[in-house]
Amino acid sequence: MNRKEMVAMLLAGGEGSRLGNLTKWIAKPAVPFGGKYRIIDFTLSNCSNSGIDTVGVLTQYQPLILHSYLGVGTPWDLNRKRGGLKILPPFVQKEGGRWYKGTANAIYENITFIEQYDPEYVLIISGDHIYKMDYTKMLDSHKKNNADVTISVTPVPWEETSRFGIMNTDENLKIQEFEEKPTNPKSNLASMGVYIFNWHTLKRYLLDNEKKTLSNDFGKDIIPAMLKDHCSLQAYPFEGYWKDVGTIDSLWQANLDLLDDVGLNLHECNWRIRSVEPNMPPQYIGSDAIVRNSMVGEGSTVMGEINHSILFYDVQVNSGSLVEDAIVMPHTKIGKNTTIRRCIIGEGMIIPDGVTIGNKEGPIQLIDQSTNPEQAYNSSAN
Amino acid sequence: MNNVLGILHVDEKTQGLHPLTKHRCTASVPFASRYRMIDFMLSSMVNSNIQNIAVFTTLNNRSLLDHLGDGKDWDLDRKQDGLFTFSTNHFKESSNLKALQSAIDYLEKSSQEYVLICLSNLVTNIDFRPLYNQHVKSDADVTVMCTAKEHNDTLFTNIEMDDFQNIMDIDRKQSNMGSLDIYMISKSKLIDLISTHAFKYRYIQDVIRHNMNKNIKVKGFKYEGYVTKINTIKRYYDSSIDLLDPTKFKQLFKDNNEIYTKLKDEPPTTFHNTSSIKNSLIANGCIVEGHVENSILFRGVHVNKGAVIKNSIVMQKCMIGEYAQLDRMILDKEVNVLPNDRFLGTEKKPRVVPKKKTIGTFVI
Repeated sequence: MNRKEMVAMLLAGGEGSRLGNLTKWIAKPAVPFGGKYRIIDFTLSNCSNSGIDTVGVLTQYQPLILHSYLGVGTPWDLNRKRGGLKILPPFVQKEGGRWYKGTANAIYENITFIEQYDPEYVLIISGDHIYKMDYTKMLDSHKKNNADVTISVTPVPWEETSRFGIMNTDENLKIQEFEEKPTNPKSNLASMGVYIFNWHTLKRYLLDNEKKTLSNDFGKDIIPAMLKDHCSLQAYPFEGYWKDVGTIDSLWQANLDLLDDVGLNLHECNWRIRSVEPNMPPQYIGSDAIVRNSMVGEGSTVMGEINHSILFYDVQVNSGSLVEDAIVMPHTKIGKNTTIRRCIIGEGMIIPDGVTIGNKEGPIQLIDQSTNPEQAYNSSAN
Repeated sequence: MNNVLGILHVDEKTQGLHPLTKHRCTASVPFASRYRMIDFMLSSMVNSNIQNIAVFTTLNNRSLLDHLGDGKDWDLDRKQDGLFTFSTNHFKESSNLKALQSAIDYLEKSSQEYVLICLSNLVTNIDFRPLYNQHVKSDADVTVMCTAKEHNDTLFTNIEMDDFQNIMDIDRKQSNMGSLDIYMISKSKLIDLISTHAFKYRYIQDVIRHNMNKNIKVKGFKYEGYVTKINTIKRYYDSSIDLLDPTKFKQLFKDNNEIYTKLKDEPPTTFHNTSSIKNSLIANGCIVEGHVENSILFRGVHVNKGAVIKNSIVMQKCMIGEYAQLDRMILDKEVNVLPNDRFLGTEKKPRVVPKKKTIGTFVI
């Protein structure tokens, strides 16, 4: 029997344009995060920890690194004979090829994939978010409320509501209204981009929506259409850490959140975040090194000072250097007597001796292969 | 080298490693922050492109079999060839010749023409290809891998080799060359030796030694790189601490020859505001709030606030209580050190705490 109660569809085709050069060569879900992981590891681990064994990953933008990273899903225990992880890029059909036009269209194009498993429910998630969530609890609530769709929501600060899709609900958490990036919000419950649909209902709306050729988006088309038809839309309040890492600033902040005890703990062994393991030798901390309030990955060598920073694997920090409030991505070398503050250092960078990068205040700088050294590096006076 | 089959027969009599070997065989003793002893030889074989590997285990093999699994972390989960584990308790007497004899079907069935036999738990990162090349070109039946050593050093069996790589003597008199117990031999010759000698000898190395001037021509191949054998607690301690020397570390962990091990999905290590670390090797998944100096921490160790660890080896998932102090200690897995207590070994005799022990009196 190939039947699955719930199939997960993971949207991983986004460009993440606000991440600038970080997503020049890789899709946003493949951006490194947290000293070892890529962003998509969180949703994939949530799936496997929730006992969901069938995950379709919809890819489109710059998929090379993402595809080779995902493989057949072995690191997340999703290499299954029945179900498992399947990469679903756009494809060509008799009547020609089409790109995925939007989130809903990507699911529409893969109706055949979903139908193979004849599921009762479809979980729609996105590979852009950092959070730990048990989707089975959400499914329980969906069943209990007899909803057509359940949308996971989390409170966000009122001043940031204009960045999110905001749900206005009644006292029973029935969704009455959905406002995309409102200027005068009535609620601060933001959609997390996690939906559980009854598959038959969703399929009907997908087919219907496709005929109308709108923007083919869940937030813009499917949800409003369901609201109009008085479907049962239920909000599922999620308590816990959730972050959309859409910008350089929020990516930087979410990384440092790992150090600041704000609810995202990677050391919990009952909800492991799994990833493709780099298999590096142990890290070496030298005799004159100072490492405080930081995370350091395997294979790294620290001879200088690290303060409130995340070093990925295979990072070298030479003596006399200071790394503070910074994220240093894998395979990076930092020379001697260099100071780095409030930066994200991209993968494989070689930072020379005796320079100063970043400022104590102001926006977070991204230093990568396309950074002009003369503008970014100030040679220090001493 | 896909014409070579690898055999790891690593059931050495290593009483010297007690109590680390109380619950496991020597091959699965944890070493260097995140590895087990067997990882070094197994990875060396894999990196030399040997794709058919048989591991012979005997008693106490639960931890080793758990570690190896189906071999996927060494890329040995293959349809064709891959990892084979032979584990039967009836070679209790640890006669490796009997073990090989019981696996003669496997040898015959395999497509490889040569066999690389390794009988020791060595900590090394060897490329076996030069050994293979020399063996194939020479007229030798057996090529034994050797290393330079001090005359009176007894860690490796004495071996005498002339300038033409001919082995003159094994285990007879002191020599500046030692055998690594690594043999390259053609499969047909090996099968021949097993069937002829299994009734008379117990060990393959004895067959080679006693017949080498009669019907077995033995040559040597000198290995120049880093290699050590760990057979006592003192050696275990010294070889571990040696890795804090960057030159030795680099000899073992070469850039392009990875040492593979079972992967565990541990997060990167977290250092808190109160931590200070000097000259130490630290694996993933640790939480460090105290002081760690000249030490080796394995995966998932938690060093609480105010704790001081010096010159020590702390294995997986140990919990070091607040203000506890350790110096020259070896803590096996999952040891719980209660707060505020001191535990000291000596330079000559590092103290070992067995697996899952709780140590400390309730001193405040």
